[in-house]
Amino acid sequence: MTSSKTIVLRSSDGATFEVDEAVALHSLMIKHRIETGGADSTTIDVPEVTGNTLSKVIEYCKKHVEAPNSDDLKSFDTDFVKVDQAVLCHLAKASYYMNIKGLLDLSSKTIADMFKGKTVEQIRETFHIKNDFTPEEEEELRKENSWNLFV
Amino acid sequence: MNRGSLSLYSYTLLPIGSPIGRKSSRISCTNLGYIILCFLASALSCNDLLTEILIRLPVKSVLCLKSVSKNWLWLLTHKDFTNRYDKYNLSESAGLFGSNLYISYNGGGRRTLYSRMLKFCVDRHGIRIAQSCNGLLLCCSDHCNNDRGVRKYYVFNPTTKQFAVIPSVLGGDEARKSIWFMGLAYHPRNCVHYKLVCIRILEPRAEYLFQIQIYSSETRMWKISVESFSANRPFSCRGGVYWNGAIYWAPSKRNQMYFKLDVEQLQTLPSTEELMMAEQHEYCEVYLGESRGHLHLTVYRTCPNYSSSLNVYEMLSDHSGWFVKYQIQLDGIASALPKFMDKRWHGYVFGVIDVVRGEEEEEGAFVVLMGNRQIVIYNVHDNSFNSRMYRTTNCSTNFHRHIESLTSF
Repeated sequence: MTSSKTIVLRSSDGATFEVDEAVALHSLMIKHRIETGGADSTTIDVPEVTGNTLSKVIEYCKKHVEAPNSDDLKSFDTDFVKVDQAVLCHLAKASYYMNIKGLLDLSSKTIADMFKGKTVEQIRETFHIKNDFTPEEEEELRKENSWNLFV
Repeated sequence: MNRGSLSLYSYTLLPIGSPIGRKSSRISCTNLGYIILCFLASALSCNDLLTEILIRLPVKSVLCLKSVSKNWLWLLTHKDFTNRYDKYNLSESAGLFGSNLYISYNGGGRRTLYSRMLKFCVDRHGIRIAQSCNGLLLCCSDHCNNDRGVRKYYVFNPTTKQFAVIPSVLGGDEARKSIWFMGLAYHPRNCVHYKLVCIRILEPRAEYLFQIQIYSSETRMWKISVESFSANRPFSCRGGVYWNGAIYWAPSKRNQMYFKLDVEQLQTLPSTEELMMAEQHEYCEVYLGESRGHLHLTVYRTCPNYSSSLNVYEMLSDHSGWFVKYQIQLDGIASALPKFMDKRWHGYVFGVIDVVRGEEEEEGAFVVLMGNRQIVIYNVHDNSFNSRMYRTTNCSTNFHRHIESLTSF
């Protein structure tokens, strides 16, 4: 085995994580930083992500880099996003900034599924959104979509 | 990530009434929905992330979300969002529009609502569908063959109900009366804009001189593309299909060309042996269509007897020729549905009306055949099929694919 290079990732709150380079490269943002950073880029700052989230992200990358073909990858993914909404959002944001497609797909899809099946009123309530349509405008919109029953 | 254009609406997305906009101390930290909001709104490019989430919703949900608030309506109808949405969601065929019926691929079929759909604009001649192209429909005035000068053209999105009335081609009334072909060219991957290609006959007709004009929804103007070209015979333009940056017509003796839009040139399309042989007989049914980035062709000789198999050809990506992609066994259908392919029965013409590829190479592809008042959906991978009866007053009806798309224009 050749000596595997390690990279240190530093989160917004100063927490550091040492990971194999291969795992770090799963993030295209880090890959780009390493490739353009020069020879001494062994510590990469990730200021958009807190330590808690970064450790979860690393856990995801590790699993997908070290065992990409394992049978339990799917169940790993399913369990990975069984977290509360705040953590899920942090993960989505982190995967977006760090450009990790698989995790972005996974977390976005999970959040999207939370929208499905909710009525307009429920969405407004959940997100504290005021209804600024007049009754006529709302009726117009409702009519537009009501007979779109091909979907 | 296309941050540049999406940041246009990054500041307006904050929902009205959100405590973030105002310095309110009434924050309920236990409300998880609010937490999501905080995180989503905390960074400049948060709307890129919100877009990432919303594009993963089905069309039905996105349409529903438009009613949440004016900001959300604005976001969800913005070209940047709808184009990103259409690019992400691969084109799934939802069904087929026929002239009086709708064939659903997902179960169900809303025939009564379909007839209302084409009343999106007032046209005293009625409106019919001329072509379907990646979610958009090219429609035109119906029932005005006697006076083609009044025929109007429309581009319509059946999912969002948006439509545009296309301005007249260059040349006024005379030009409108001499329109030989009108085709729509649109693909969300290429552009948010669409183009129309119009071929018209130049006077005098006897010389078979044609002109091509192109309309762009970006400029909202027509321009003359090919001033004139001559053809040996009346240039047959049945069934235009937009694929790979060009408009194709079902190849026949009277037309072996396709029109490439980027170079605005007519080029020659290779034919198949079967097609060339079939054309020596009196009549053959040809289907040309596109599905998931592939161009398909089927040829069926309608007399004297049916043949027991039907080839589905696919165009090679370098345009050098066709190869047999699928072979359909018709014996099973003929024995299960005895009169299906009998063309003498009320004059119904048997033929292929759609070839749909699956998401994966090895599964999901099917061919839709129409015969004696019945539709057969044939699975090309295991040769199984199911059939449905359709009552239609029109025996030879044109079908157009229904694809759900959010594109706005």
